[in-house]
Amino acid sequence: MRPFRFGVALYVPGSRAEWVAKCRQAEDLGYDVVGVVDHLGRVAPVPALLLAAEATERIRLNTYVLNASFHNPVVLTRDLAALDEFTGGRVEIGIDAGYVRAEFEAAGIDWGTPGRRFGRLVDVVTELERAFTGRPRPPLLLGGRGDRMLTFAAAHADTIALTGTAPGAAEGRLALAGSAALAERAGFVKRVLGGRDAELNLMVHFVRITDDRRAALETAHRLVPHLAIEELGALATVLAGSAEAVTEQLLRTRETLGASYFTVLEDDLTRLAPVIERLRGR
Amino acid sequence: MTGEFRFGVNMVVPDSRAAWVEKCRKVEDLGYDVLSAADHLGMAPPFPALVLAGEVTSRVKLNTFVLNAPFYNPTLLARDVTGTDQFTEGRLELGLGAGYVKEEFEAAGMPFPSARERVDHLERTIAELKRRYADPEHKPAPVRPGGPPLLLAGRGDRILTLAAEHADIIGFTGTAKTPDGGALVPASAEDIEERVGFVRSKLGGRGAEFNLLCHFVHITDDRAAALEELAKLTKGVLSADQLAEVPTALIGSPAEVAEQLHAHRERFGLTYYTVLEQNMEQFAPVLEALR
Repeated sequence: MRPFRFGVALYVPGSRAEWVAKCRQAEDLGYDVVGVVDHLGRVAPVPALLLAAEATERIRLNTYVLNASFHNPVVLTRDLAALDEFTGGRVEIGIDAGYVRAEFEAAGIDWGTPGRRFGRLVDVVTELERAFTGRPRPPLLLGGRGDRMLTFAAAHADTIALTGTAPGAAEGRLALAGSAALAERAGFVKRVLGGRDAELNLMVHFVRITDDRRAALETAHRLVPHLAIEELGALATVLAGSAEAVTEQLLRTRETLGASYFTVLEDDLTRLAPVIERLRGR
Repeated sequence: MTGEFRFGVNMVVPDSRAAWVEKCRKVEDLGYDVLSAADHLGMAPPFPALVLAGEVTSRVKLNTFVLNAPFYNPTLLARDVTGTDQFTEGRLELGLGAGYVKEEFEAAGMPFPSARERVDHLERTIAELKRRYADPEHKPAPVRPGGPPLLLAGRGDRILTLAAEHADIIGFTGTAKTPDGGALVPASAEDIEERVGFVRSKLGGRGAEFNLLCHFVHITDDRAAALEELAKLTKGVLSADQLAEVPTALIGSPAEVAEQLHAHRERFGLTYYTVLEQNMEQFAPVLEALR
């Protein structure tokens, strides 16, 4: 079993001082990885990770995740290789095929078909692998939900990320996969890995450390109305309850799904801290 | 500070953090006003390099010199520009060019667009940047309402017309007209004067700073010999007498070069020079002489 790792995906853009403070806070709270998203209206990923490295000592730096369709593979590889050098090898590269159609349209980038977007991801990964031949490549995180993506991830990635979302997730609405669907996807990854050891990352969509678990789950239910409160209470991507209970839940999730690396969104940065504290070194 | 002039150093960004940090500090310590990062494949990328430069210096402006615009989607570029502007607390100066190194396009798996297409893309890029800067919803927000100062560099009529219309700083290449995608050769003083005159006619009275990339620096007590040497080095494209007149070759003692700079300001309106990294130490006494 792999040791736990915790990441936070930051996305709120702001001043240098705000960004530096947030990155330091993530490190101080015990996170292992600080991640940046790749969306319009959010932070510029590569400059943001460079500054994150300057502001911190230890924490690893992750693109969580780059939209392959937004980048020329050769130019992106140059940028990431330099970032890795400048940060003393602290970079972990996360890439997906892109999923927010409105952003493609706003940027004038062809949305194309799922196959076309997947092809762009393959092009980026191929170029990264080529460029790093003969020298250590930063760890690669790939993932998603579909068979094709997860099969590709199993063949190429050091870390495989499950989004924990359900098909048909509308923009701005959280469509979470239920427990059975999530377990099925984790099982699929295990199968396509065929015995190869890889880290499994799970995106955590909701965190409330509270003595009133019921009220927290009701809040989650308002955000994810298609899943019943009981279902949400059992779901690995929803962490609601006391710090002790959530700690137990994560230990169980690692046991059952094999996921040992959990990433929360910026809003939940401070919420998860007491749990990280309890799981240190485990 | 050197009063009426500004001086920048155009840097090739190496792989190692330590080497880059050391060079950036040296630029500031030597008294330069601007630290510029070039944009080529095989070098580190400008934006993170400038963020790092900003972290290890306190005063110098941070400039892309110049971005190869066709490598960038304009909308995504706007995010990188304003993000870097925020992270460097308003010290960014954005330099853009239409792109000229054919081999790099091939290496990036992109067709080498025609000169017309490259300038078209640059025009779209400028329009998109201005639109994003002006949009109150755009995030990261630019530090100043109109965005960071814009430098446009090139030599052709269309790009210089664009520059006259949009740029705060107009970058003259000081190179002669050559076949597209070919090697660069220095222009004569008359050629540069003609380009400057063209821009002035297009500016129609609007103020803009005139920048020049200085290709040759030789600080020496024997100016005549150094000019002869350079004439040979540049394979006689320009004679020693012609080289004596061009602002792209700053040759002589610090006092002589300072004198040339004043003369060039009169003739060409140039007040902002960018020297190549390998010349930064050699050129530094000129900054002293101008103080």
